[in-house]
Amino acid sequence: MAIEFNGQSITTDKEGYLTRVDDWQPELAKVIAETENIQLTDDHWEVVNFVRNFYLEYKTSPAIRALIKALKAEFPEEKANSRYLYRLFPKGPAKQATKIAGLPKPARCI
Amino acid sequence: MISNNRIAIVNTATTFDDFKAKEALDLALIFASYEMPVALFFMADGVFQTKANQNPEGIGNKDFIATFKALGFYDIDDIYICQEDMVERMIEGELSVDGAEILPRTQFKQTLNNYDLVLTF
Amino acid sequence: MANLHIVRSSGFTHNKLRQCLQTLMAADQIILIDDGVYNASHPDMMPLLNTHKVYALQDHIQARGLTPVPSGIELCQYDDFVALTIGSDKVITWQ
Repeated sequence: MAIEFNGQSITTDKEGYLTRVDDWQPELAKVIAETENIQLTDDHWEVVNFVRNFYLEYKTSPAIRALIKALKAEFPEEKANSRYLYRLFPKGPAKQATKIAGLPKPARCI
Repeated sequence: MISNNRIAIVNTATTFDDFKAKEALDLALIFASYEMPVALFFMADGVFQTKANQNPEGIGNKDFIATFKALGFYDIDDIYICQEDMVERMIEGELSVDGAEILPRTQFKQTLNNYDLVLTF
Repeated sequence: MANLHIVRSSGFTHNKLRQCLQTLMAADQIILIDDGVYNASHPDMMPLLNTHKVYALQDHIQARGLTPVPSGIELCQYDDFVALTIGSDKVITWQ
């Protein structure tokens, strides 16, 4: 599968996750978010950038519990809990945020 | 699926030996995401995985060693390395894992013996 | 006449390093590649460094975080490896 973007064809897996992490750019994030019916706000971006940096440092997409624990180290309580994250990413924060951030789907994760 | 069994994953293989190290790590993360208590043990050639400054990408592999630094976020805090096996292989200084306990073999095996399920890689 | 021995596994777990050393002739050379580079600090290797030329592939050493290597082991690149192979009578691989 692929996403057509700026005249380029960007390959994805069958669930729409980018095949190559390096293909990602912020403009592409908006396109992926639309396919998830998400309108990206600053709050979304905060999480998307966070999971992308998590991946670049640790070379793994964070599953939900790891994501919340990692967020707690950097953000106040109200932004590092599962209810807040589900409000931003209704179909699963780790699943949707990593997709929008151009990362592989986290293993065994909702 | 959720049980109170304490799981030990024992690494005896080098970093790139037949994907064993990567599979052991993936399994640990899966257990952890089911909130099952899991500990990592490193012995024999497995202690080579704990060396800092490895560069898997330099030989075309994914840098899964970098994930060791994220184990705390998965509540994997019990990490043990066999001291004698490190000394024999001249491993010293900085490690690829945070918060690991380096135990003499007698203590290492006693600690391992406390686990209900032991899986070796 | 000299042979090149390519050692590809860790002597701490496997017996290939020992077998290599048992067949080694006076003028032979050794190159450590893949997990064989872990033998750079194997005790059986130490006495050998005075009598034989021992190389290790630099990329494989660095991938495993093994720098600096013990003195006496010479780091080499892929093209050096090829040159060693061509310059030897026989190539014997231990894997």
